[in-house]
Amino acid sequence: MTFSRGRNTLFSGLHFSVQPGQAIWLQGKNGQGKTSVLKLAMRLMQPDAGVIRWGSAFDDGGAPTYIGHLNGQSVDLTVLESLTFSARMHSVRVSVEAVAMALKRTSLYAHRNRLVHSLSQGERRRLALTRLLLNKSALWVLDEPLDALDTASTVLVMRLIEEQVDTGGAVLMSSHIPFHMPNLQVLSLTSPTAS
Amino acid sequence: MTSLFRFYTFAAPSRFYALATRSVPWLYALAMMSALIALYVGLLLAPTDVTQGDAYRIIYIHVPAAWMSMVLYLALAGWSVVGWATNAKLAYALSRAIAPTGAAFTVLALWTGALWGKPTWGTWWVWDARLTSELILLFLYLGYLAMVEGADDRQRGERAGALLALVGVVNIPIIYFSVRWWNTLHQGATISMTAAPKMANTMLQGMLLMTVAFWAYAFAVIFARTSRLILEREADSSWVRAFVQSREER
Amino acid sequence: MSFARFQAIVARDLLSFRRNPARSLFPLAFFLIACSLFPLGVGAETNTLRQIAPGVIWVSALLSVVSSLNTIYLNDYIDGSLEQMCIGQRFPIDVVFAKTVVHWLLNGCALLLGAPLIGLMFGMRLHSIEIMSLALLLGTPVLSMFGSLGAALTLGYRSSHVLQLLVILPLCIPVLIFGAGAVSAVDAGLSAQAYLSLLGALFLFSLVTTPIASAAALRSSS
Repeated sequence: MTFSRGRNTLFSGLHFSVQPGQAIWLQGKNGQGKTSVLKLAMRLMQPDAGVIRWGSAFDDGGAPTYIGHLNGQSVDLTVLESLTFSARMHSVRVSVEAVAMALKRTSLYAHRNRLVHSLSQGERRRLALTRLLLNKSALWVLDEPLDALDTASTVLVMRLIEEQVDTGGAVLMSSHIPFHMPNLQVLSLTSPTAS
Repeated sequence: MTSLFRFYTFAAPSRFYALATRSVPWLYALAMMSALIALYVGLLLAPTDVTQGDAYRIIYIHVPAAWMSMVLYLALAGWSVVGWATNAKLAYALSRAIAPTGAAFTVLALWTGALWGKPTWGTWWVWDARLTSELILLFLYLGYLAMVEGADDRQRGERAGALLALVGVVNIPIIYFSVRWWNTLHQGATISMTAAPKMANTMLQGMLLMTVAFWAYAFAVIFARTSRLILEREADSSWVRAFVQSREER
Repeated sequence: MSFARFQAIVARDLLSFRRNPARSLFPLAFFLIACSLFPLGVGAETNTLRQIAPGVIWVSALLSVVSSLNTIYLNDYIDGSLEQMCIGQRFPIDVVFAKTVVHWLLNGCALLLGAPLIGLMFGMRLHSIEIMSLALLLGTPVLSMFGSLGAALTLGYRSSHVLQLLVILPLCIPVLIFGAGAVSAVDAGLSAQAYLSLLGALFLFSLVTTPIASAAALRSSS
């Protein structure tokens, strides 16, 4: 696909696919269009030319789980309400136990009745990550997932991504923080035309 | 079929630019000539009106201007539809180029309407159905211009403006109908612009000639503006760079 | 496009409102203040006030609804939840419907409470106030729907407040004309049926056309 912002063609002829069991790390300097690629993949934006196709896993109307720069959660809700809302929007049924388990994994269980407003940046990010556990999407699209996280949370994210890949899911992410994982594919946007 | 093919070749910005810049001087010439003939017919040949005297002659500008303002809005909306359907940048550029001219004709129609009102009925403004609708049309043009020119992201502004133009066009019959209804209710003025003088043949000819002049002028101005927009937008492309280079070498 | 999602969004927004109800009283306060400015400007002569009352109430209602449009999408746009809600849909119509319904519940409905009060202050007769309330009931949803369209079109623009006014007010003129006309007709002893039918027609028209346009506008603004 080809995409431009204003006068600049960010990239053209970009072509790639994400298969189950794959993790793809999108690399590139700031302003090269990593966020745009992720948004295009989520079909939140239209490319100037080219097609985005979602695989059969999403034929029933589901969608990949996306965590962008913004956490995507309303500050007026409590942690629990935020998660149940997100699950309902993804048409996923979640039991109370599943929510509790997910919150325990991301160490937010103690905060489950607090308003998102009162959480710190790192905690809000962890809440966004909890969505990944609950929605159980076949594909995760993550924009800088390690941003604003402390060491413990960083380790948690890496482990979650490994688990997703091991269980046959897929991950497409961008990160300027180095990522170490077996079988990690790197896609670079260092030139306007990427292969 | 070949004519359809030829039409599409002009969808390429560079070819359109070539066509547009070549036609502009001719269009201006045509506009000039028609305007002069129209003014001759309207001011000198056409008879003096029985009830309104010579002041009615402003109609030769007022009515064509009003027609143009409405037709141009339709054209703007039409190109917006094409733009949404085909994502062709040229269609959006045309819509953008039409808007200021359309707004200008609307202002002209309103202003000449006021000038007509003063000597004929004694007031500078008459809240009759047609003038009020024309005023609302001006607001629609201004809204479109504000949306498109006020956007930080040009592409987004164009798409939003196109959608607004479409919504406007669909709502215009409703707005016009409601304004006519409103006008018959609030019986303020028995004055109405619709009570225009009976059209003698020469009067009609004068108005039609002026309409031709306005059309040619509109085409000229819109083509010129579109060409400028295209140049701006395609500034990085090869044909523009080659064009600028050849200009510099001259 | 699913009812479950529509329900989820409405429930969430009403929950937000319950947590911060004061914020939502601003439009009603604005409406009351705006209406009260007219006697101060025009003079408090009873007949004049009774004559201008329908127009004043409708114009103030229009301005009040339009000035609260930012709340429809902007907050969610800023924190990224709008993006999340629109994922996976070509035309996020359930988002548009949910947001518009909530906007009407919190703004248009509030006006239904304030308008009779103003009517009394302007010396309107009881029957006129009834008809006006009915007209507002039919007309304010239309204002919310067009407003939703304007808000979606101008999402993220700088100084979007003024732009919204400029964009939406011309489209809302028919509602104003028929709504105020209904009350004037009743004042003059005629039946308001034609006006109310026209308002109903406008309601149906905007119900059918504006959601898809708003959804398309939301799509192109992300």
